[in-house]
Amino acid sequence: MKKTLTKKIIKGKEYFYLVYRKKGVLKSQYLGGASSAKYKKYLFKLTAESGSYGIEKARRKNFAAGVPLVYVENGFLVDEFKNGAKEYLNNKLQVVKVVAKHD
Amino acid sequence: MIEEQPQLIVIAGVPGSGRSTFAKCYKNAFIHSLPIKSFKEGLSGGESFATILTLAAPEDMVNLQKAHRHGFRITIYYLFTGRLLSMLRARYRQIVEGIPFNESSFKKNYAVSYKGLISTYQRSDIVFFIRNQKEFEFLAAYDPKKTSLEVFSKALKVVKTSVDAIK
Repeated sequence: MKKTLTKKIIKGKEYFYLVYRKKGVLKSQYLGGASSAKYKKYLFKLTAESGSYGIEKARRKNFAAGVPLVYVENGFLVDEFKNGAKEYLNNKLQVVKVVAKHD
Repeated sequence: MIEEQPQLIVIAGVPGSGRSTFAKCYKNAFIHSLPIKSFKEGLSGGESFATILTLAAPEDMVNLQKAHRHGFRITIYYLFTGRLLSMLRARYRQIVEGIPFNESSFKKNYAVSYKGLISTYQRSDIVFFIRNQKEFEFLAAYDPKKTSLEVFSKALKVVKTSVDAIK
């Protein structure tokens, strides 16, 4: 179900709602102000969902251009290649571990 | 009674921290579907807008001060990415997109950007910390009316140190 975040400013204070349609009826869910736990929880949920979208897009883009995807995993810099191989680098950019995918 | 105060959403961070990706991913959430404009364009219009900055350039500070004076409500999303990781991302982007990369200016901007965030803190209305080492992670929100600059600076240092730590 698609829910749209909407904001109302009343006397200088911001209030957030999620607006959605259920069985054709427009409904809204109150989240509270910018500092409310409900609103923060909603933001946190968004980061978890769209974060994977961001990395998938970066993965496709980098692999299409012939360069690895780079990120941090367990305190190491990781270069992930198109063939699934991963190189783990230390702070001197030396390769300390290579993990290759087998068929 | 409903009052509309113009909003300025600043997506900040060092080059390679994922600012433009963040802006695309959260266009309808954090960015509230606001148009992404340069400061000059946005301030002259007087309406709510979003902008992408490093907070390393002196004009960024001047422009934020102007926005504060013009009555904008300033929300900052600061993206944390370690020095090595952001440098590698910027290098790969040079290969992929042809965006010029200069290592010495990158290193300078990296340090200045954090200082920029500290000097901007009290002019903003809320600052969100987001870590982007692999995925966007929402860490904390700081309101200058509730959290002192000293506490904020300490928290900033802790996050910076943690993202910079590579074995």
